[in-house]
Amino acid sequence: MIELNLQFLSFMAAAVLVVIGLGGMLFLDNLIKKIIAFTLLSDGVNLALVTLGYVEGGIVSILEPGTSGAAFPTNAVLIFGPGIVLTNIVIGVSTTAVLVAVTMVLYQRYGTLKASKVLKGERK
Amino acid sequence: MESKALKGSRGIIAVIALMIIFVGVSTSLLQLNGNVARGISPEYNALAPYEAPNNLASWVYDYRGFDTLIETGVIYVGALVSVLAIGRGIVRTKGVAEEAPVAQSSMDFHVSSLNVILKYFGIPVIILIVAYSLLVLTGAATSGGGGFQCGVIFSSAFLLGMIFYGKKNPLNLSKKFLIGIGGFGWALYALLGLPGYLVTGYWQYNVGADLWSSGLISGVSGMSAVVPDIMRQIFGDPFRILLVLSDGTYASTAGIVPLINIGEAFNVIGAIGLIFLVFAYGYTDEEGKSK
Amino acid sequence: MIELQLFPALAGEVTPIVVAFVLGILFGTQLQGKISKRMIGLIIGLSIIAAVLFEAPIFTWSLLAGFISEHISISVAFVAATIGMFVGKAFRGGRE
Repeated sequence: MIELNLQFLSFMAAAVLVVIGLGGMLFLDNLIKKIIAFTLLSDGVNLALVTLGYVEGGIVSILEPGTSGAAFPTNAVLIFGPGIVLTNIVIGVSTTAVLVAVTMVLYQRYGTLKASKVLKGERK
Repeated sequence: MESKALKGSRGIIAVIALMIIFVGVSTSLLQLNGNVARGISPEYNALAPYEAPNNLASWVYDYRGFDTLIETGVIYVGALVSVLAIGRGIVRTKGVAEEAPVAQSSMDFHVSSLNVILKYFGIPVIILIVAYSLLVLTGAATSGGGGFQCGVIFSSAFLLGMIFYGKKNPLNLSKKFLIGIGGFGWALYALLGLPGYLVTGYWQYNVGADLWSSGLISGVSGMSAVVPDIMRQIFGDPFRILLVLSDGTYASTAGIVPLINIGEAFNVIGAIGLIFLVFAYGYTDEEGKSK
Repeated sequence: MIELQLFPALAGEVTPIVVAFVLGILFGTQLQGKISKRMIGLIIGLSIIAAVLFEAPIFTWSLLAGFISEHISISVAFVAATIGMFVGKAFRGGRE
């Protein structure tokens, strides 16, 4: 029997986000909706990475007055996941900007946002 | 595939495929539930009282600072590609210009339709948001915050001004300023690695905090007293604070991490501001006017 | 707990304020348009209120950095950034 703790629920939410994003990217026709699905997929990956650092009964990884410096390494959450996520967010932003820019160019060229028509090469 | 095609048998197949993917993803993720090896993280957490209280800042800019330097370039590449795709880049001049593209309507915002209250509300909010972004930047080492966050908050102020006032934006960042500040930020970040390289041979070595050669870490003795005191004082002492914890007082310093944060913030402001500017007005707009 | 002191124990409490002021001047030079004196007073007043709400950064122990007591403190860097922006705008002369 799997324990219903926060980490379990977070992993499930991450899986749901990843699958929604993947399904949206595969099956939706609108390019803007594809981009939104891509951001959902990225968020799911970020959530999974953050959840990797979960420590049962842990504290935030910032020292505050009153915390113990000696017990901090064992109490604090694992720092690896959030550090990667911080980079991943930035890369997600730049990727989204590039995707939107390319979508704007495609719209100017084809006059439509439907991926099926863009692939067929129908000019407006 | 059009949305109609998802009805009927194809839609059922798609749903079944997604469910199979969901089962695969969730089971593989749940293997990790309560089963994650702590790895290197506690080691870095143990160093936190000697460096910045915000452990994430130390992690991102010190322990993997060189990695972050390269990844910082990614966002600038994103801005560059946006400029190329939208503005005067290769795509429009060669592909579209001759073939009668869809007429691009003026993308200026309808400033006249804004409420007068919003217009008066705008200037204080923009100035306060910019001040808040600087607060987030300066508090990067001591609390939650950092260069990325500062850049994003600042850019949100820029976007707010763009929406409220259009071309009469009170926070009038020109393209030259944005490109210059972005390049300066990245150069600052990269050049801060130079003192560490000259002294220890490692690029981005944190000469201010100097955890590895100052004897703070037991077991590491190979690099004893590599960093000269004068360099340690130049980079370390301006950011030295007193960490009063429950089991003792640590005189910690973040070293070059706050300076790197400034460079990072400049870079992000340049890149995201350029993206906003290009998406709102296009790249060639201003130049056409000046000619 | 460290007692209230007027001057900073270490420089790390003052450096962020100076940095915020200098960067405020830098971004203040990019401001355009006219801002009346009443508006400047309003904004500085609002920033002081906001500074009380934000509180000083953790591990600051000096009055100069805004630490008054354990529950009341002022984020001086925020006010310094706001003032720095107006200084920068005056420095540039409010370009049109």
